[in-house]
Amino acid sequence: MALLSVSHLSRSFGSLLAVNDVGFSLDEGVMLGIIGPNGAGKSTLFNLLTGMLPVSAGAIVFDGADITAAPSAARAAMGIARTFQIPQPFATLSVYENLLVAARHAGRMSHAQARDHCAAVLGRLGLRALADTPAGGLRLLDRKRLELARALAASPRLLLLDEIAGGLTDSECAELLAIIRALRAGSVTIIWVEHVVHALLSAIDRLIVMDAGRIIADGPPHDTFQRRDVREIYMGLDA
Amino acid sequence: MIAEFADALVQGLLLGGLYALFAAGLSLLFGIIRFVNLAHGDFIILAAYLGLMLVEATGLHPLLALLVVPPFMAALGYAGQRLLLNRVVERGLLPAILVTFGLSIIIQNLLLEVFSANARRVPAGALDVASVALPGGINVGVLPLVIFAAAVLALGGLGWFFRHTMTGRLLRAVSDDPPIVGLIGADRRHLFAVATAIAALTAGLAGVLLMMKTNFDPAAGPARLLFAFEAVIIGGLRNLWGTLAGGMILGIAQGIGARIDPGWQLLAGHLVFLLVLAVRPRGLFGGRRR
Repeated sequence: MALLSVSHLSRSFGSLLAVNDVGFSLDEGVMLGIIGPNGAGKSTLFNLLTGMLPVSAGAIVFDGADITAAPSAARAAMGIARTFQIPQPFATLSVYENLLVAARHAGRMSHAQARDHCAAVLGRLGLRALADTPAGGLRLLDRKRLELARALAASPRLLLLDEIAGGLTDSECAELLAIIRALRAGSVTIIWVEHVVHALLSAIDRLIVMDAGRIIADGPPHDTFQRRDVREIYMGLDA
Repeated sequence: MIAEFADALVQGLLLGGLYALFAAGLSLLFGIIRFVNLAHGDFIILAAYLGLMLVEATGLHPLLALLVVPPFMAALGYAGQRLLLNRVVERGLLPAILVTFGLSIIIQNLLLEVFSANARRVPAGALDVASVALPGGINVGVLPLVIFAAAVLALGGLGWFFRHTMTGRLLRAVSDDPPIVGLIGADRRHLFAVATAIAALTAGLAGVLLMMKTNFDPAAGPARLLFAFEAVIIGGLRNLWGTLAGGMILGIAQGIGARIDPGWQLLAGHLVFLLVLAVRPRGLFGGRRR
């Protein structure tokens, strides 16, 4: 059974259809990449999946339950976590506390469980030395790491990554990619929206291309990316 | 002369504890929910009348009202936020201000209807006259000392709560970024109500302490609100110990003003407030930009 199944999902802002009749389903353990030009509806799709925006039409089913109208806190508790393109840590909380609140609430862990789990996540993301630093004072790479760490602190079943490689140098990007690959080996299901296509294609199992709110292609990453219509729309190539 | 000055200093310092407690609830709500509770002073006076009613009905010592009135106020605060204020808080500053302004008028008129306009005070028995002698010939009443100690304990307790408990961390998180709190599985509307409950708890504490210290009447709330604003702004937002210092500075200014001329008590406080506002608009201990 699919972990996530989205059907006829739409969201309009006034007369603009930001997400237009989108449907796909995603099996457990798969890593799905989504690309598309700015304004294609990728971030809106994430906001609909996490409940930060109400849908205009359509349905979202997660793990067999219809969550179309569920509040974001309930979805988080069911195991959906996300990161933001612009990291949004709780600035006055320490790095460790940022993880702890997520583990205790979204992750439904006891205090002892949460402590051990957060320590492990901090270690995995190389944030252990910064554990007691207020999150507001971190540099970009560390903020991105924290963004991912806070999402992982909840032990999610579905992880939504929003342009996590953006703004990083090649070596920083490679470092993050190694962490994400390790996650996939740990059977977390991932949807990753990214502009840094080479990083994305090297990691994902399946690629969806969006344009103007619609899904225009869906399939194996390299074949899908090589399709002429995809390259024209996405890259603006006049090949 | 010097002894008189020192006496005014000590009295003002002790009064400052109570002002800081007035201010704590106000700055807490502004910090966490970003709304200005114009009825905060009236909550304090409401708590004082609740304490008065309790003492008159049961004959308990007024200090024991500290165990009853603050929890009751907290429950009232939680319910008020869930049922009323949560409907307006995320629609900008103005709707919330209008609603709390309305609440302020309703509370004042309700108190006037039930208790009449007469000024009241709750005698604290032997505590009223007990005093300890400090070196230098200054006598300090035990009651002001008790009030100061209770206020400092309450502020310290709040500080500990925000740093070391899970709910405290969540409240700081919701203050940093309300929409994101949902994504870590927490219900921000519940957290808003918890914040209001804590603010109402501090108003309850302040009201019970105030009823033993001074006369109050149904219209006394707005003046407490003004003192709370002044203490917060002198001390700087988001800093409990700064708020305590702000309260003390305000108290000392009022104490010294009153010694110069009884009519100058409030004026001296306002002048110091204006001076701080002009020189350090972020407050003496604020400074950190968000």
